Amino acid sequence: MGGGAAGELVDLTGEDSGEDDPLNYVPEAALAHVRAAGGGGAVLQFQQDIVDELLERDGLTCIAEGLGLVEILALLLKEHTYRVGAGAVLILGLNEFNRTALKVHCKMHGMPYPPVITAEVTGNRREEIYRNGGPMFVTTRIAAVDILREALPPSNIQGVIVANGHRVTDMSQEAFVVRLFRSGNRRGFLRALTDRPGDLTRGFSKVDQVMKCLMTRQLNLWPRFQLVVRACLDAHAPEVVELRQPLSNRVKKIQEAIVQVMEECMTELKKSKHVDTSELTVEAGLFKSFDRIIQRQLDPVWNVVSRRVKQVVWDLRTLRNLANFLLRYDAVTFLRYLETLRLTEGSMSMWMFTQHAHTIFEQSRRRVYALRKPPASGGPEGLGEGSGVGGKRAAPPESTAPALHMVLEPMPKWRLIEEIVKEIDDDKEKLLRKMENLAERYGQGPTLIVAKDEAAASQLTGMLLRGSDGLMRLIWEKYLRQRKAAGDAAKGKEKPTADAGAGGPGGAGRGGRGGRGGGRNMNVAVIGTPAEREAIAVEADRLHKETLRKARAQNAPAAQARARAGHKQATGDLDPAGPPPAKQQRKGKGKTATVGSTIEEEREETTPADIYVHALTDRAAVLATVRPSFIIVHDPDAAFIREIEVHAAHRPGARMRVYFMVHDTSVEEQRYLSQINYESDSFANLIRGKAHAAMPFEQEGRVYNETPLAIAGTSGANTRIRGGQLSNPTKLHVVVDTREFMSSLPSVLHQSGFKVMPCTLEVGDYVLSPSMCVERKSLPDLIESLRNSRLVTQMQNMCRHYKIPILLIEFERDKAFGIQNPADVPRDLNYNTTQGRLALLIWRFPKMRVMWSRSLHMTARMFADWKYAEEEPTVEVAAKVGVPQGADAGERNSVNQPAIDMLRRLPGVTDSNYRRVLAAPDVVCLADLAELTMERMQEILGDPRQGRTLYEFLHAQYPVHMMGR
Amino acid sequence: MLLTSTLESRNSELAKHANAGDLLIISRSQTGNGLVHRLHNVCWAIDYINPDFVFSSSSCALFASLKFQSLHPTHLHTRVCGLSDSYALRIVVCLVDDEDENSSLPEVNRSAGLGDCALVCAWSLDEAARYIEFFHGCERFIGSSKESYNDDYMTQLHEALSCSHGVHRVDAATLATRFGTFACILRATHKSLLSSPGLGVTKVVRLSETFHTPLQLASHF
Repeated sequence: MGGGAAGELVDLTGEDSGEDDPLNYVPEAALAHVRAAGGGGAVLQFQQDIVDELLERDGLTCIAEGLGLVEILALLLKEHTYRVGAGAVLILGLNEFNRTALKVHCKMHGMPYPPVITAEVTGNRREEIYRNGGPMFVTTRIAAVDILREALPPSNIQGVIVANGHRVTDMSQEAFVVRLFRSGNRRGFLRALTDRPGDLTRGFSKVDQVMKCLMTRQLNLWPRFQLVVRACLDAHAPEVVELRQPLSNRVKKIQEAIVQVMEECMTELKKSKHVDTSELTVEAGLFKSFDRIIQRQLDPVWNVVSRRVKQVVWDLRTLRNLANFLLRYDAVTFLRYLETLRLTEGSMSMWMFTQHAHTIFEQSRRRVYALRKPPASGGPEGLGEGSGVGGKRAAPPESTAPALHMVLEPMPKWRLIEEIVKEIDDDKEKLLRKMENLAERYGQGPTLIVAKDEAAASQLTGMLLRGSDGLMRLIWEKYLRQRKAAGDAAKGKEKPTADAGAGGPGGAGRGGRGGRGGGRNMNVAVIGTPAEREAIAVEADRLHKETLRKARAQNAPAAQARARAGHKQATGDLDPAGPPPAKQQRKGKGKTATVGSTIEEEREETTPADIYVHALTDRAAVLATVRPSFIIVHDPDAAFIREIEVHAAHRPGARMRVYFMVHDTSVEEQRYLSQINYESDSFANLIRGKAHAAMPFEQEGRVYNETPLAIAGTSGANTRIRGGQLSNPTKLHVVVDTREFMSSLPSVLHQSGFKVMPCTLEVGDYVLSPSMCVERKSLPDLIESLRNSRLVTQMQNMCRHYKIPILLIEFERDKAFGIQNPADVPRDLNYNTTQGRLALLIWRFPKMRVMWSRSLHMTARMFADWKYAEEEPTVEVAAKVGVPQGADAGERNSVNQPAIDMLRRLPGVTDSNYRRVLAAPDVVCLADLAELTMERMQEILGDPRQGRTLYEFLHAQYPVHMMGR
Repeated sequence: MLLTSTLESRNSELAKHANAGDLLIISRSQTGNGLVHRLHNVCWAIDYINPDFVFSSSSCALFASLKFQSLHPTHLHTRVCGLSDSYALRIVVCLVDDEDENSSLPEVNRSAGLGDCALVCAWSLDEAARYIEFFHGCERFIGSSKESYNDDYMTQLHEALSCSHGVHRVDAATLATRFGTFACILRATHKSLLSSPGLGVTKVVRLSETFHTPLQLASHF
């Protein structure tokens, strides 16, 4: 990017120079203009307005999705980058992909990219960054911990920018940080941004709560239909070609079946007395938000909801995913997903036993292959298109082995894309010949194809390289290979090691969740007939042999193919859906630890001449980087359409054509339309709400008047300002484990007047006094840790070090209170229930106290109650408890906690030996475990049996088709 | 009194066959308690004792309910204080029968907790009865069975992967199908993880961070 940056800036500033006189296009002059304006890329009028508004007065700004949240953020940051010594600017709640996008915009504005502070940055380094000041990304957890540790005094904070305003709630981390910041600093600024108007209107007076938590009174709304926005964007609207692709017959059938099953599920759900039926429509069911609606209704009564209803709720989610995946993934991948579902969900689900599920499975299989007798090999499409069911049943399994006939239906949109690409090439050719004015020069830019996610994007790449049929073939072969590998593994395991078999394939199909499916009979269509499985196995064998033969025949060139085929299990399947181009593969092998790939890398992986394929999910600043002349929108997405508009407005006069593809009369189309409606409705609500809202004067957390008197006046003990929370002198001390800052309890404790002291604790989660220590468990946690007896070890530790170990069982305020449906309490005595295990735990540790809490606030109240007569705890003492002799306290401060949690949950790893793994020089990260030999593993764990368990777990082949046996 | 006698007659059959040590002793004050009707798996006898239930010479339980607590706020505290020190394990079984737990539940918690009792909450008399039976049977259960804990592969896999927030059972299965073994999942690149149906960017970023970030970061500074 470096060298090209200056030149590319020019293009962006085409706003003035380009439009006036396209023929006399002088880059130097334009550059001078930019410099005079203070450097940086072009700024659209409305974006500047948004920024000015926020700079003038603190507030929450809600913009329509796609209007450039990141660009606005970059402009905001620019204000603070060069002010030296003014203190830190904390940026909260920006995700990885927005950060990547911001990086691009920072470069365009010529400002340094702010440092990112996560738990991985050591304490000293963090303090140094805080001292240097300026903008910085901080995770909310670290921000809260560091302010409480006094590593980052609030007075040293210039201001806070919350980039995900819609996520703020009373209990959220963001609100906690804001409160901590405001309690010591009333002059700094607080600016919040969001591009999710929908999330701000959900629930009861959500937006008022957000504003209250942020302690601001100003709400700024910038919908797409705002006048300035419209004026700015409509003037440079790109050329749009809308393409409506009809669905193929089979896809249509599957979709209909899915919708019908969903309807059945809805009917089932409506029978439950706990559900408000007014919101239950299939249309609503297509959205993720539907889960939230249902969950909100069912949460308070979740313990009395019958198992059946719970399953229906889960099924609806599965079905929604299926409806999405149907249009997103190719036929083979979809089929494979269905098969995975059958293995994991099969025995529990309701929908899989319906008549329509039959259609779904049947037709999905039909999209991939058909089974027929060898002599009757007529036209390729003959059988497939016909009304399926009868035809397939007719194939008698006892006659000569029926052969597999490949259908391999490509995705409906693939053909269309191929046509478009051709059309674009033709158009470019024409323009190239003339090449007279600016518009035509711009017309030579690259083509950008955007797809919903990474998987779809990589498939499109493969499709462009090999053509749709070639790609389907490849995916199918890969599927066969995997099936064979899994089949071999399953067969091999059955005989030799009985113990490994019990842990492996045996239980996998049913899963641990119940396995009551034994009694019910799965539809034949769902599982597939034996003849089909046989035919697939034969085909897989044939393919396997063919690969081997090829490899033997031509040794040197086939090295790669063999690497793909035979070596696959060992190397871990580097190339997912159809081996992508060589370039991408090379990159895939080299890349291990880097997560957010940089722009350069993304450029590199592009395929045939000037076509960039990109996923919407991590699009970052793809438009600004690629500068396409042609955009093919593979999956409709309102936000991206707006981004295109914004981008077009940035480059007026630049020719841009957008091909907008949508499946005709599909779930996809419906979703897109509802998405747009929902957003404008939300804005309408917000605008109406804003007009009537009465924000209390005290809600403003910032003091604009600079006179010291004003500040002294407000910082007094005025209990009318948020209950006097801002400055609350406290006597109650509590030491809190830093990991606990993921939850809301520290925030609530702070709110209730505790002095919260963060510290990395080895034993327990909260230390109330030198003798009282609390292990906090939410209900799901409790059930899980009782089941795998981790709680026993934790209790052992607590009992060893503290006089009064306390188990806190915490329920959530708006969720059900209770472990189990009272009607489900069994008559007989079974110690393998949560209650039974809890009783055993209490029996084993008579010293243990159990605290039952209905809500976070009740917990805070009880903490205060219980420690009333106790001494205050100190961080120094609490930190040392349970740390083995010789272990360096500083070292423990920065560990990859999720990875260690995962490590400790692996079979064979116990609380006593996991430190040995950490100490091993050849295990730097978790992935290194995969490379160890069994001997080394045993050596590291110091116990041959444990080492063997771990090794076998890591390398156990997952049985894919065990239903077939 | 009539009630007591019917209960006793029903129970006497069972009691005849049991050793004296295996009996659950119930205080006479509890005979009116609906919980007693719901004890199905234990032999019991009624006696004049201070605690409500006695499991063995060193363990006992008190019965409380939120409704009663709100009517008689000091009752439980007095009962707890009155328990003899010879009981090493003291349990309070509390029936949550009040919609508004906010006032009485903290008090029950405090009386039990500061009175050296472990509190157990039950939401129905049946559940409370099961708890009493569980505690009564604990000693024999621990003696008779070694705690064996063995999961099938899928559960172990799911448990490990679910450390990364949001990865549920189907996701775990999808990953396992795609990559074959856990070792292969560990080795998988960011990109190939992304192409598994159902795993979005957020989950994949979390997963690959977990896999590839060094376990100990301090050594790198």
